[in-house]
Amino acid sequence: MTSIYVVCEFCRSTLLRSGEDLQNLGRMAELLEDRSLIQIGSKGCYRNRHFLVIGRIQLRYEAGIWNEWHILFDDARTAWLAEAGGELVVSAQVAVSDPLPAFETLQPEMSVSLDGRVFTVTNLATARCISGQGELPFRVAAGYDVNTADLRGNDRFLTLDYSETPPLVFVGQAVAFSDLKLEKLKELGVPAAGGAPQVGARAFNCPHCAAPLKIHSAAIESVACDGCGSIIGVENENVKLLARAAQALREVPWLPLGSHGTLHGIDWEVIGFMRRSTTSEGTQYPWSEYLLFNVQQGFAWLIEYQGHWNFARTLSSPPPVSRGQAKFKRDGQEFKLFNTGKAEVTYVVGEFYWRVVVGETCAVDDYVCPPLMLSREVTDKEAGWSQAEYLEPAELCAAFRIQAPPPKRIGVYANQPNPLAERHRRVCRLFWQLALAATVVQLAFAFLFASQLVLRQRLVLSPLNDEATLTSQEFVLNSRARALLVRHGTSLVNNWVSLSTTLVEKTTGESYLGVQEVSHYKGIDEGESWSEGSPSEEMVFKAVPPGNYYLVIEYELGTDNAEAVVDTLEVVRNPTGWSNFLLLLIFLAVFPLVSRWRRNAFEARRWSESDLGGGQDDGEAD
Amino acid sequence: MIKANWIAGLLALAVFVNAQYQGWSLFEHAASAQASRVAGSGGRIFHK
Repeated sequence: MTSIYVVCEFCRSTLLRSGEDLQNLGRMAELLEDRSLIQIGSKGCYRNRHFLVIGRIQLRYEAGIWNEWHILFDDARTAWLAEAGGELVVSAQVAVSDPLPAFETLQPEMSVSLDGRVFTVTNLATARCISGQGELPFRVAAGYDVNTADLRGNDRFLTLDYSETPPLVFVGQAVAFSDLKLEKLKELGVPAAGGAPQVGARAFNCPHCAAPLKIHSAAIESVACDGCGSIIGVENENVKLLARAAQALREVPWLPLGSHGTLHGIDWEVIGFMRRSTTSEGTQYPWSEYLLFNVQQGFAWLIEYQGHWNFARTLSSPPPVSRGQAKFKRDGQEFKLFNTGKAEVTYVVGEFYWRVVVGETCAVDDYVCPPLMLSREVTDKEAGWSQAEYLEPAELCAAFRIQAPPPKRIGVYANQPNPLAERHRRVCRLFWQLALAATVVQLAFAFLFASQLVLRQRLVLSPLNDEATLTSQEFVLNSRARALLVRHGTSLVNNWVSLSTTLVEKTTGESYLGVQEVSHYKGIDEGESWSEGSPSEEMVFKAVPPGNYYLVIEYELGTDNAEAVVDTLEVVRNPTGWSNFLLLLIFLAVFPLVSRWRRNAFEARRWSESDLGGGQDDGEAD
Repeated sequence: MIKANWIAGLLALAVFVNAQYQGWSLFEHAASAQASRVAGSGGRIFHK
């Protein structure tokens, strides 16, 4: 066993293990009893390795207290399980070759490179180790002061402990309570060994107005009284008035404190409510935040702005994004900067896991990728990220079994899913399906029901006869022709010709008449060539019965050009037209164009609320 | 909208198939559908 110091549970003496002997080093300060479920003797599992909780130290910093549990794995290695702000982190000490920056030089969001990996400073704290319990690898005695820096990089968590020189480095990972598979936890309502009876929610009275208040979690550091607006600090069994009746105006949360609801399969209780606001161009934009608590899952937030709801949780592995960065990718999704600003707490009521203060501010950057939004909040000591997911109001009401209608939604919210995007995708899919079917039909008419050239003959239209009649060769239609196309392809230049084409059935004398005017002029005017009309014309005879046919062509040739005109006469049976196909495609394309316009209008409304004026890429797949 | 799109699309496709079969076209120059009889069978003279 690596632990060399043992703290006696009964007399609080610290014993130094030296071989088989134990040396008493004196009494240690009492632990500040809290409502942590973990205790000495708890067992768990981390990365398929079993561990036993053998000791802990308690540290106090300006925002409250946190526990560091000393854990012993089956292979005799030890590590620390930190329990702070509702987050659990398992870390172990490592040796690094790179020099470490001085604590004073660190700033939130600063990048620090250690052994080839880049970490970002997320938290700086000056704490005091106030007490210890169980088996520990060092002596706590009457306590000691320590500067600590928390850094994160990808999914790694790094703590620099400046209590020694050079600083100690601990590397680990944030882990979910349920993933640790903890056993032998404190049972609610059962007295802990040597401690006060534990309850799920501890009740006390407001030191200012005596209103009844509750504390639900070990991580709760402050409670704002609903009765008088005072903010009470929670340190141990005692409470301390931090701000007396700090809030003159009383606000009533739409979701009452104490409400229970099931979101994403987890039962949450609303334990805190705060109003925050940001100011842009002289206009204040307030929103509400509800703090949710679950014994195993820790904390989460419900955020409401103008009837739009988001469910948010803190990110244990924040993205590496520099300030002002316009966009970034995370898990294959592109997040775009939507808003930046300064958020200020204007009202609080209920419990919070930090020492909340009305008037506290932080810089906020919101990046959106509907339905997700990643928000960065930065103070002079801390930089944190949270991930919010848009929640439909009806879903929220169902989760919390609320009958009353939720606040009416106004406008389009930053990460509100675009309901028209999916519809547009479906309309586009339908367009391609119908276009494919139309193409198959068109190709079938072009190749399976192939058109057939039944006559091709060259005729000479002589200018000598200003009106004349020509007769074509005979051709046979064996069956009824749905359409018979007669095409005159002439060599006409700078002249016109009027053609009367009569289709005559030789046997019955049935005839069909068609009149055409062919006109084609071209030339060069001021160096630019021009052309008007066309030298060829087409005409269609419909529903022509079978029989032997010939064409009688009467023409009148213009006198603008004295040259003879060669007319290539073609008769095509059942020609396949492409104009219908093009018309159909144009008609079908109207639907995706309209749905695209509607989708983009929704996005335009979304981005009109952004003070950065971003927008969607036009290159989005349609 | 998607249901209306389906119905309109299928109707348009049906009209298209029929138009192609019948040889209809909005842009073609259709000859007169009126049939007349040329005097004398196999006559080679056309009178306007």
